[in-house]
Amino acid sequence: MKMKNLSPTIAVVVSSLLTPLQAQDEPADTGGLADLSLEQLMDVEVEIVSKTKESLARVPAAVTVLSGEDIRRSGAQTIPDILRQAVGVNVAQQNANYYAVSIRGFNDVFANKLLVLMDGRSVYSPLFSGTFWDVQDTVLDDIERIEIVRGPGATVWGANAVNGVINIISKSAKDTQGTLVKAGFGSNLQGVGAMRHGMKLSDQLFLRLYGKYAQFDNLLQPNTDLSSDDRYHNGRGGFRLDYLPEDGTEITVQGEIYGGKVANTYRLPPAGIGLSPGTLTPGLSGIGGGHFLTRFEKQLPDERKLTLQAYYDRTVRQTVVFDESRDTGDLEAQYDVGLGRHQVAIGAGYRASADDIGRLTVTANPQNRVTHLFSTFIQDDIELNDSTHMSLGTKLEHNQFTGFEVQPSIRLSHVLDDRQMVWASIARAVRTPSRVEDDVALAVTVPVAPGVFAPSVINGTRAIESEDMLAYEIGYRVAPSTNVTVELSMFYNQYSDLRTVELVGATFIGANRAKGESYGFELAPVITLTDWWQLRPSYALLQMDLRAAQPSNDTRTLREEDQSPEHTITINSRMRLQNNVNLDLTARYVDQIFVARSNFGAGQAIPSYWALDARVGWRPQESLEFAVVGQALLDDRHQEFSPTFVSTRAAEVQHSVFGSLTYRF
Amino acid sequence: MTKKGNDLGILRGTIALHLALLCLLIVHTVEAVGAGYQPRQLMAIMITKFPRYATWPPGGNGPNGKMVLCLATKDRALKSEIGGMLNRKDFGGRKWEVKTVDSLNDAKGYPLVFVGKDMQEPDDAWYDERRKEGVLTFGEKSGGKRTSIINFVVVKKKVKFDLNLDSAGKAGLKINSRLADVAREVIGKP
Repeated sequence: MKMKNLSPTIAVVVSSLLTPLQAQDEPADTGGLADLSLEQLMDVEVEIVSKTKESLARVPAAVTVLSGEDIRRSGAQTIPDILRQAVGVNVAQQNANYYAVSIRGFNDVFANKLLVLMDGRSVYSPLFSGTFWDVQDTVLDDIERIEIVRGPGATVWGANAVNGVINIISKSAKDTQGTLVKAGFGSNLQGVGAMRHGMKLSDQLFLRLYGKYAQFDNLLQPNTDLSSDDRYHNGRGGFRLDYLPEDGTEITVQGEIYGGKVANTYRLPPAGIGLSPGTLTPGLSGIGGGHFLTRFEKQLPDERKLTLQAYYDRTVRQTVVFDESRDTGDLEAQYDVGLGRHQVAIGAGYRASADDIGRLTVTANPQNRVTHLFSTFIQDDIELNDSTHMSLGTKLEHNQFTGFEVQPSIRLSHVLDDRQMVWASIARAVRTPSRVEDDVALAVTVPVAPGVFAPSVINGTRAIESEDMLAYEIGYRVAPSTNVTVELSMFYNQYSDLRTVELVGATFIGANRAKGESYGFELAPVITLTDWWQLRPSYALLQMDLRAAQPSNDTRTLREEDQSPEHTITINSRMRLQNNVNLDLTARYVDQIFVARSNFGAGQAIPSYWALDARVGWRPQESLEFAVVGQALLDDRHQEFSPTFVSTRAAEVQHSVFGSLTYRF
Repeated sequence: MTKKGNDLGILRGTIALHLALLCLLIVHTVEAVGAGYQPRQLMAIMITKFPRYATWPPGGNGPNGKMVLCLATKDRALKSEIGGMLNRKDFGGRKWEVKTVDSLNDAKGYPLVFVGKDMQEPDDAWYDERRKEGVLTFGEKSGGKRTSIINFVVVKKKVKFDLNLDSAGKAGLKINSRLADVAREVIGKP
């Protein structure tokens, strides 16, 4: 299977997995095709895809897709909250604007082993190696689907797709015709307003314009009624233009600008050794940026396809403790060709990223740096026989942090019968160092004795290398009846050269002196009880063991093995009641965790918790929907995460209510 | 990657893998790759439209109430693709059921038979056996001998069909002339 082109694959995967749900939501079950005449059916364009992409049974990877319907009925208003629905995705809210999101361990606000893309554009920050979730947003109704790959995806997507890949894909402008207006108000999310207008410029040219504004309230500090001063608001506007001539060409041009303010309280290190752990400094950070992307796809004769993509992305973040401005340019080309039993994809890419970094607790040397990334990949999906497929591939990259990186994989799938398939894979992936790990001196506070603190510095070093992972996965999918599907994925990951922070004299410096393993499984059945009620329970188990590979005085890094929950349970219930009313409930159990490196001093244990989200949606007519959403309803408040490297205030997630109105015309 | 030695070894390995894959491609016989899932999805819907254009012989297998489609194939993917689309579903007020068999010899007694491209084409003897009961056959072969009455083809991202009236005659079916008007190609004469 060609991982990069999972989109159509996963769409089929999900349609196969969720067939009962779609049947429930769309009685026709064929997207209206059944109503067409034979002549009309012969005029319907189909997507010519390789055999390896044609059914769920052939996807040799642990994948979950959240459809637009899943997103709408989740009631979630932020992308991290949407991701809470997916099995194996660990989402923990640190405060109103900081989320820790990871897959298969190493959770952190800067979870660095998860690659996130929006419409093929990487939003993984090379600054800290992670994703700034507070700026990842769009009109949620215009998201077509979110593809979530658990496990490595580096063979095609490249470095940092270590433990997973999340790809957020927006709808074509052709599919968002007309006007959508959405307004909502609530307790945590104080207000959100979105408007989109789609228009048909010609039979082949479609345009979508959109704008959105959202404002979030402060949360509360743990065990007090004091505000955590972490409110934020942001606004964005953008467009998407799709040119779809009938010759198999698809051209997409899209762009967006955004801006906002984020409140946070940072702890600045003390001037010298003493009883003070530092000064709490509130501030309002400015965030802003934008992007412009063009993608060209051409379906050529004989099952060949050419894809070219280019984008420019600018991000600016000015906080109390650090500033970053970054300009990124990216070019990618991919050529797909079917040769008998082989479906081959060849690709190449280039990315340049120029930054400017500095501020109070962050000193970059050099302050400005331009990094270049060159990459190429080849992947061959081989149809061994009618039931068995093998995929071989490798990515070759050259980056300026560690030089050449190679990330090969082999995947095998076998269809046992109409209702069962198994798959297995072995893959290597790496997490390349960040700009901070390479060049930045980060001022921190360290405890030197009980109640006594001192200022110190974590120094970046260009001697630091990539973190390695070798992943072994097996999976099994079965549909024991027409109303039940079950997906089981098991993994065993071996990590080496994990980053440590070594104390050398009075300062710290990065190194690669840890290693470890993780293993576990994810089980995700979908049970359709009746034509109006569906259950989606899921369970994820994660076990991690990290240890020093070389002499190391960093004990905190090894505690990261406890930073992600061992047990996670999600039970999602979807009910379609009478009079166009939907009742959707999601209960989540998250096991206890221990967050290491809080204030670079003692860590913090976060107890396990149950949370319940509920949404009632009513559609009195097709164009109008009212929804009331309650989140974290089982308790007044609970803590989900705690600060790590960047010393902000901790906060507790409070129960909340949100109501919205969506009108399409 | 940390160690330069390992780096070099893995680099060599990946280059070898690139070369091996390229060699594999060069020596492999080029053949057409079958249509994807979505074309078959469309084929499944189209199949539900054809019975109204066919007349089965009196006392034959003509559809009564529930419509039963037999999938003759060893291709498990095809079974799940067409079968998943039609089995136990309601189209135009009629229930559909899909049966699967591994051999054409077992495809007896069904009004509709879809012959997978992994199977040999039905021969005259097979059609002779079906003549009294009548059978509407479907196929998806893009080349070679094609004897199915309806043979689907994908042309410029659209699913079309060829109509074989000779096979229809052998199968004891009468085909409405309107079907010939929309077929891409008509083989034989009414």
